[in-house]
Amino acid sequence: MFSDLLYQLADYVPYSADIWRSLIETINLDHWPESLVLLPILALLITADRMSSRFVDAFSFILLALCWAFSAWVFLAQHYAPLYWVAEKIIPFFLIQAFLLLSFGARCLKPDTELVERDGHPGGILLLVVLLALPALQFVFGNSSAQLSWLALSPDATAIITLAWLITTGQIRSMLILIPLAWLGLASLNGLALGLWAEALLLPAALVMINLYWRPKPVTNP
Amino acid sequence: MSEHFHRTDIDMNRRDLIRYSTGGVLSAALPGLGFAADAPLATIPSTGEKIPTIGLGTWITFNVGNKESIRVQRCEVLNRFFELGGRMVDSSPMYGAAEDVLGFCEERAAGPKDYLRTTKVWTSSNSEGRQQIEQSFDLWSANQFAIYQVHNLVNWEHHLPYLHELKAEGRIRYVGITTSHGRRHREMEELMRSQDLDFVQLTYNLEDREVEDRLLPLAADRGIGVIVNRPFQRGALFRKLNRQPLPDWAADIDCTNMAQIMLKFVISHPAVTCAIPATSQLAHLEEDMAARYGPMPDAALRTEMTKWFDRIY
Repeated sequence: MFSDLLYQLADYVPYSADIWRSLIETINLDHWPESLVLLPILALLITADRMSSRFVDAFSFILLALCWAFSAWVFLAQHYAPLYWVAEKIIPFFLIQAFLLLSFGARCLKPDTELVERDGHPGGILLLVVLLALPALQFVFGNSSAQLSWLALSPDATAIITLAWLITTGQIRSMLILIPLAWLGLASLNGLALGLWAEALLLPAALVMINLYWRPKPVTNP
Repeated sequence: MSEHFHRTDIDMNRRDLIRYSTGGVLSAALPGLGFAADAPLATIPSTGEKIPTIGLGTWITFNVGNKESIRVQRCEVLNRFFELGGRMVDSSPMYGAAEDVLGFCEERAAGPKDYLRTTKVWTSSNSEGRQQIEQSFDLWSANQFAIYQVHNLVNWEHHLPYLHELKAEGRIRYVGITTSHGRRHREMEELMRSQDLDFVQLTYNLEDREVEDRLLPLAADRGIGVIVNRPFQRGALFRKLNRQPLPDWAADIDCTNMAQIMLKFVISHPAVTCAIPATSQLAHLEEDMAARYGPMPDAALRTEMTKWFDRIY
């Protein structure tokens, strides 16, 4: 029955697993070595937890917003849309996500905005794990080193890292999680349909991550 | 880059099947795989034009994006298809970059200029439909399409009359409608009764035989050509038949592998004009094209084939 389900799911994906990998590879190679600029961004995100300053938070949100906009333009519009018409419908949502992240970043800069209590949040370690887990799994499942998903260059990596960042900054209950979660849902279905198991695990991994680090709002006395 | 496309499992299974069931004797059975030029042809009912019984589908296999090396490989597949006597290539705007890739191959002089270009219009918008059709002409660098179909019956109320206008202008030669996966058969039947159609395209294979009851007899009765998509049920039949030995009767119809059994089952139906398997692999293309040769199953053997399949699955 499961194979029948996958078979039906595959009818909605008009390209092969190799073409999907080739898509990632093409973008990685097209943007090398410019993509090295991502390294300081990643370093900033991973260490931002320790800095805990409103400027660092704001800067991080803005950088993530740029990553979403970059994914929308390069991955979706330039490369994915020619393969699958659905990509064009998704682009506005990526731009909305970029706008929301920018708004949150701007809000962090306001002096009256209280920094979210980081105590108990997983911080940089989670980001580091999330950053490396997807490429590592892809490598294990047979992708070449040029076919690994990285922040900004791949929406999969961008979405899962955004979720980890939202957990880190205590914004996991905000509307900022909706679009990343929705994309990860699509990415998992795409992975299932194509037999790409690293991608198929994205949504379950995101849900586990959220469940592990979900903190209910503290009850405050009036 | 290695060629492990979406049909990887299918491809592996097909290779395994050949090894398992024939010891790789395909080449021995069909020396040189050059094929004689005397394969039986099918007749298009509305005009009497003769066409080969195996065409080439492009769903997934030609949707390869912009990478030139992969596009060039697909041009090799297309060239080989024409070398083996193929004439009909079927695509759709729904298939991503497939039409663009076919145009890319055409610019590189792949194949004859008069092959049967077959595509579809697929949009619910009237104006967009006309734009889409013009875009397909541009993408294929074509002055004329042989067959133009309304994809999955989407907005047929508008598109069919427009396609008939184009037919009257000589820009297309045949008009058709399509469906797949067994969907919308009732509506297709109504259109086959009420509309002027040269072709219908539908799914038919050893597993999905629903069209035998009404649509295929109706097509024969109304003089409508039938193009069969998904003759391998999108590769699922290979998975189901994997590890099965070739049945004894396969030799009676010159089948050396499962692909040929599946294709001969489809194209031997009296109402079927041609099947359009899709592949990105030269070896599989050659297997598919070889199914046009040799004896075809008669009614009794066709019944035996379905019993054999039903017993396995």
